[in-house]
Amino acid sequence: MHVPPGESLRTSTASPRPIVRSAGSRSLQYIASSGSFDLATHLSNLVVAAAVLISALLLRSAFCTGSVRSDSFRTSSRIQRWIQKRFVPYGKLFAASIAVVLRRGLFSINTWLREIRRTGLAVTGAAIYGVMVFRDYDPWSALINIAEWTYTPGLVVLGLTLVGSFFVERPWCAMPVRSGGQRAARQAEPGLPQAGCGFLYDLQDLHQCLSDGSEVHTARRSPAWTVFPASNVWVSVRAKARWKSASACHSRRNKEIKMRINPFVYGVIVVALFMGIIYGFQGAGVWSTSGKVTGSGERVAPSASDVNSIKGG
Amino acid sequence: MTLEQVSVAFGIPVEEILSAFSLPSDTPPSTALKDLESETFDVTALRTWITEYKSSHP
Repeated sequence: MHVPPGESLRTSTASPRPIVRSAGSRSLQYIASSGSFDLATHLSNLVVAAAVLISALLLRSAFCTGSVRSDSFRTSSRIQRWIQKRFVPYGKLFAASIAVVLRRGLFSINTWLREIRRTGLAVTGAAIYGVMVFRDYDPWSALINIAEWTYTPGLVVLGLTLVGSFFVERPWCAMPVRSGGQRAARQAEPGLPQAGCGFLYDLQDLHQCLSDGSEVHTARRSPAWTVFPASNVWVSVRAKARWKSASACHSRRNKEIKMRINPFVYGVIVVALFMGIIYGFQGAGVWSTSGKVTGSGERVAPSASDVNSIKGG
Repeated sequence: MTLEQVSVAFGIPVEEILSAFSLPSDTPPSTALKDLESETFDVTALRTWITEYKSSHP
């Protein structure tokens, strides 16, 4: 299913895999302790990691929210907004249906998933089914796999997530990955019906906003329950009033951090900076994607002055 | 890495490497070291042997 990059492919590829997530800590620990790369780490990994860090430092969270997180594609895409505007009736109907499904089905899974979280799921998948859950099925990992010219079922999840993002807020974010939004929702309004991820995240913002000391308008008249404006989910009037209050608060925040640059120009700058760093290192010869070949593609030969340069791979 | 690469880099005939580790004399020079791993041969032992060989054949 999954082909390791570099060593087993005809064309070596640069992979950030050894640098990111848990594999990154292992690689960095190995490099720190031994002073040399392990078999899965090469210069290309460090260059890609440097490009990510520099991009993040100079352009804030551009890489994380613009290029990696699949659920964030929606927020920066005018095309998606255009589609949402044209398909509002269908989108609302779809969103309401999804919210009902999520509320009654998937989020009940999240209740116990929250207890075992990622580690439990990963261990269970590997131990019982022999499946690397987050490597093969996580859309985030699917993006990395695309960079390695490998394709996993996660690509299907990624595609579904992107298509779903045309209609609902962040269809992937909270269900299998995070539960912070759900907790925040419960804190904001105990007994609150559970809905879509975006709804929960918005409520998380609400909670944080209220924690900042913003005004709270609490409606106390009946009926006690009403339709939530964003997702047609029935919530208490109190929660709806809080939502309105938080929306105003959120709007003020948005005014404070409103981006003054055209999103498309911003995207071009992000890509240019990121790829520029990589091409810059490649041009300087600081680049290799395999322990078998050099940056120019020539086979690595042992050094006559160092027997440790003999590699078994 | 292959036997041939090691042979060229350190100036040691492939035949000597093969005989030192009791490997079949008809082993192709293009054989990867990892494919020769056995109880009598491994990369660490090869490094040690080459170090000793170079000190005795300056």
